[in-house]
Amino acid sequence: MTSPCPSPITVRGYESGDEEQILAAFNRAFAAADPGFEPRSLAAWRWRFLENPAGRRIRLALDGRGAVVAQFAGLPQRALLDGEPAVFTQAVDSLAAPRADLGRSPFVRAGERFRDDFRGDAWMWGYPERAALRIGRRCLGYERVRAQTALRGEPHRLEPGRAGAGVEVEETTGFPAAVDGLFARVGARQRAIAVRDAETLDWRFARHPEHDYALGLARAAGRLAGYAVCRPGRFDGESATLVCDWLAEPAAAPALVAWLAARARAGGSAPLLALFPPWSPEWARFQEAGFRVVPTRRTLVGKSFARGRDARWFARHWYVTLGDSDLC
Amino acid sequence: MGEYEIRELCDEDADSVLATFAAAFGRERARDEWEWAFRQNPAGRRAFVAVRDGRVAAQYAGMPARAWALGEEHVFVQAVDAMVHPEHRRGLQNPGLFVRTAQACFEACGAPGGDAVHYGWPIAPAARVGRRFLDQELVREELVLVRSIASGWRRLPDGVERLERFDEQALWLYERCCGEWGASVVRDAARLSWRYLEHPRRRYACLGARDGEGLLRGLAVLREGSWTQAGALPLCEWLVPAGEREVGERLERAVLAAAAAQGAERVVALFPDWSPWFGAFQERGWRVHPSPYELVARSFERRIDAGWLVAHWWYQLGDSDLV
Repeated sequence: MTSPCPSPITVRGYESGDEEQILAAFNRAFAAADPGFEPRSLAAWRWRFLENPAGRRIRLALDGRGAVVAQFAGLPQRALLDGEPAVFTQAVDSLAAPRADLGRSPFVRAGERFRDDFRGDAWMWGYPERAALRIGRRCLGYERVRAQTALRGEPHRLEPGRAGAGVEVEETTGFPAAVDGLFARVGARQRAIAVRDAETLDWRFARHPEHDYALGLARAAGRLAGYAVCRPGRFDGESATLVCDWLAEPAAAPALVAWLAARARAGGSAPLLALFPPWSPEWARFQEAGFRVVPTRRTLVGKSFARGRDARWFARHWYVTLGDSDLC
Repeated sequence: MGEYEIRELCDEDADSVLATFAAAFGRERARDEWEWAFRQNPAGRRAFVAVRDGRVAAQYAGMPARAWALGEEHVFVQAVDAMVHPEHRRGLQNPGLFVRTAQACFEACGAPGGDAVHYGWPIAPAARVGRRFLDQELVREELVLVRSIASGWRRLPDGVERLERFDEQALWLYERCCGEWGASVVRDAARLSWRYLEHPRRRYACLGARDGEGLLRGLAVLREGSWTQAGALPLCEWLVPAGEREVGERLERAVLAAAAAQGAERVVALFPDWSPWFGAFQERGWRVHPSPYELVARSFERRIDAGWLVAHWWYQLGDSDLV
């Protein structure tokens, strides 16, 4: 018996009206893989892919009837690479319909088109599941960046340290324009970092359709000296108070850690969980405050398209927090 | 490449290998260290060379060790002394002499039934070659645990003694530990003796915790001489069953006392982050720091990849030649 001819596959970008079909395929695929999966809403899909100030990255594979059978997508971020504008993109929502009639993997084809069309992005990265990691490594050139560790702190046992003189933390529902200046002073010193301006942070944390983030702004003598973002959630199957983002001058750090601890206690005392690169000052600072380094189940991978900077360079120079990803 | 002969190293190559080492690295490798590494290892050696006109032009070499992985015996090999004589270098553009030499070793030693894993902590240029041409993957950016030493700790605690030899109790201790590990180098008397008691140039303090009946309940090995920074001594070996917290605390005090006796200010240790000791040492005041070292591996065993090694492989600083 001869094999049936594979269904013809078309690979293209998102077109208006695709979202319902994409969302249905996503919810089916992820529900099949995870019994605890909560379906994503259309509002959340639109927030993620249509409202991102940095744009969208979607490549779809469709069968001969126009049904979405695979997707390779990403969440771009405006970034700075040694002070120059760049785009970093987290690969997310990879999906493939398990159909025998589809010939050479539509997912691989969508991924290859994604890689080719967006290789102007300096850095593509993600936290793939094991199967996606194997495909990504073989077909897309992903390299391991690190076996991801986290900093975990029991809110009742933290010792934030002596607060800088006159530093106070205020909770807010949105980011003031002054955060642009904070990023210019503190963030832009990093060799690789996603831009953390008011427009981006408001989209990312203040207008998220599904999560309520607590936003803490630290001011010293009235000047914005740092911020932290957290929310209750789960990580690696455990309840946690997720430290989603952090950008602070050293003097503001104790007050912000104290605020995070208070927030965690108010929310039921789930342990605080933060991700920082091991070379960052925050890594040592959080340990001094009583956080402990713990392993996670995640592997951070990436593919660099930036001349003269490979994945190891990004491992050593890219300031990345939990909130840069879709894990919180 | 017809002008080069690529073959397994033989003892008669030693002088030429050492001359190439000096030319490649700008420093000497002592003949007794070479003998220790490549002739006295109880697990043998792995070494392939490219030779021209009777001189070693390139080498891929490793120090093998018996390992227990996936419930069966394997061989893990630490790649060391990767080199090309400066007169024979061609750059990264085409797979060069070193890559061809390494591939010859892989063909001979990495086939099914051969070595399971070749691993190492290469310097950046060698790491790039390894990733690009030798299927090496990053396993882990190494994090180390560091403990500052309080003044006044000089005496070994009761029940801890300095070991001058290893016997069958080493293997018994290892077997009490390894059940919780997916992979590890077998730490029997032969391995530990060669690694820590017979090194021609380095001195190690082997500290054994014994119980009232004289049974070895835990082992720690501290190297004499600073590592990575002045005043910091490396903890090379930690072999204590995860459930034996009292033994662990006793040995930790012994390590700090032995280090203080040498005038050290800090001790540096390495544990896989999934190990209970990684957390236990933090609870006892050790802090986690990044290091300049990155562990890479090339697997020849289908069931073992970098992701598996990260999650299952127990190793210590003493599994490297860094200490």
